[in-house]
Amino acid sequence: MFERKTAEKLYEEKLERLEIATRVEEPDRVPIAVNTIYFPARYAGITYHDMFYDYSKYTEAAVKFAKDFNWDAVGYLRSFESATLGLTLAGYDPALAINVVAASVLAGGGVHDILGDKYSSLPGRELPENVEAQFRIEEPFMSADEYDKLLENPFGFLAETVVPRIYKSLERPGSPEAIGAMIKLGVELGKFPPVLSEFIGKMKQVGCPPWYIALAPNPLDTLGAFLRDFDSLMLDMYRVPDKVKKVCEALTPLLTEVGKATGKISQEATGSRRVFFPIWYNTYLSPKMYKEFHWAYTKRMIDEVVEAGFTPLMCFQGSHDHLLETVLEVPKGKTIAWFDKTDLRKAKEVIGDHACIAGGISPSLLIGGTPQKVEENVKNIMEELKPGGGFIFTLPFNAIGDAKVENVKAMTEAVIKYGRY
Amino acid sequence: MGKTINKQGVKSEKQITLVYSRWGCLMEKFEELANALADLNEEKTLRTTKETLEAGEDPVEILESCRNGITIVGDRFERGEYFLSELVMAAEIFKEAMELVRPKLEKVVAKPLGKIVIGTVKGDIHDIGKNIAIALLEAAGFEVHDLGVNTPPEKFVDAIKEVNPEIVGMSCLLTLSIESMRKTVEAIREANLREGVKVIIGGGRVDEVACEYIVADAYTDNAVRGVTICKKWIGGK
Repeated sequence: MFERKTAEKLYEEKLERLEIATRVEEPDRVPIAVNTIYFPARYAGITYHDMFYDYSKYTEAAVKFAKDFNWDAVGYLRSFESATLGLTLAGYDPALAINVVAASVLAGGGVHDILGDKYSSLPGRELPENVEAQFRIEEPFMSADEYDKLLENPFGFLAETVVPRIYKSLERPGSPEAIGAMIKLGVELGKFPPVLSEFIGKMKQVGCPPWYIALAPNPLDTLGAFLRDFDSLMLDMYRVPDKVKKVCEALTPLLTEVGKATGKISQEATGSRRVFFPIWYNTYLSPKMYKEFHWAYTKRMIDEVVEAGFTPLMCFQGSHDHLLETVLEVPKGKTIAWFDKTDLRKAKEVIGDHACIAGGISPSLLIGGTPQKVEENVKNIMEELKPGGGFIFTLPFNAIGDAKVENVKAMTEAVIKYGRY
Repeated sequence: MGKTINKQGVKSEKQITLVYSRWGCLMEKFEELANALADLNEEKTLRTTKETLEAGEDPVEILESCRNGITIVGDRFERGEYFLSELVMAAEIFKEAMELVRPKLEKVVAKPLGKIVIGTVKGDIHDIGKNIAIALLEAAGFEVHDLGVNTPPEKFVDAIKEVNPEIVGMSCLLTLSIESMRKTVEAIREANLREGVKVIIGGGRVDEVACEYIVADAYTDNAVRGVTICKKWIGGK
């Protein structure tokens, strides 16, 4: 069905369609780009476990899905377990640090098995084989009293104190288990470049660019998601605000480098300049606290990543309604603001001329709704968001695992039908 | 005491002033406590709680003041002045204050507003939303039975049989939990318990479509509003 040359042309067309929308202009139609790893697995008839652990099945599922649905971009990224280990290396060997951070994002469950991290529960390991992976800290890996130690000697404290608490295999540094795990991780990392380039090659053959493969974690979320935990960090912001800010300050340049370095890998390998900026705490913070503890640092990272020639794909989880004005502070026409539960109409009013908006319909509609209802909702969204350009149709991050196939088909058809300019 | 009261048992004018001023002071103190909590002043809330307890004031009044503080926090949240981080901090301060008050409260048997069984459904291990809901429900006077995370339908059914609650709360963060919540309600119905309880679902991924599909009675992605719904149900009984 896909001749090689046609597929390449298709791939370029899709990249270009996304580029035009990013500049807040009108392409030939509204692009559709979604991050979903579970729906393609179910569609292709493989388990979620396979999606994490069986590279060839994962590739087959991704290819089949890309071919049949023909979206403008799909994100297939998996998990983040090795992030803290990678961060530890940032002062010692930045290039290696980035490979380690990216390892679990791209390489799947193998890294989780080797390191025995306490972050993730994966399908077919801690969870049944068809349950979606989950990421959560049960107990903080660093106490509120340890901010000073982290600030005094960040890499030493992370490597010697925090890493052994996070990764079961590294619990006793210097033990056979720890040495073995490091060797195994090295072997795994060695497999990853050819595997990645094969995957990218196959996706090119079916004309499907990635929604993103590069990423830039921000300081506050990194602290909350990888070192403290959700609640503890919120209390820290009231109890030890200055220390939280100092850590964010220290993390900013390191994480900016991760964004730029992975952006470069992405651009060279896939042609996509998008760098994923997941933003988690926004929805929970008042504008004042968001600006002080989060945006002050994240915005600096965004500016630098734009300066380096990449496109920040700011994924505002939950509701960003109360913070929309802050988006006006990023460089115009150079970023994508991907919304989850934010009111898209309001977003268009406030930032529509300034940044490309990515958003869509409620995932629960794809799970519990009907094709007619899905079509109606897509039509409504298009009527309001399409005019003037700068709109990408998407869905919240990994949110449609349980969606009905007929609903996803109806959604795709409706985007093509109502998305034309 | 006898000395200050005349034969008819009526207090002298001077005494009345004194009593009123003490009462006035006390009211002021309680108001101060509620406001300190509402303003998220952890140090002042705990200090005032300790001082009033040490002065021998009624622990029930102190509890009420803290609850009033939480009510103000809820109002500010509804008005968009406070966000989730303020709720988390307020709930934390409330919890700390209750740790001081609880030992003195033991003798006073307070009848709960109502009983709620709550849990994050099977397949979902997130408890952020649930914990905030629990803190606010407890502050509102509900007796809350927390089933924890990744709760299978049978566990909900067993808890309903055991606790006999008016309300069942199901929490989730992920979309995958919509299917799981539907199965849980199904299990409650099959055990012939559905008629006796109101079901509320809460979490980042629930909306009207999900609520209908799950066959719940209400949905919310807002803990403060969730508590208001629960209060309304109890009041309507």
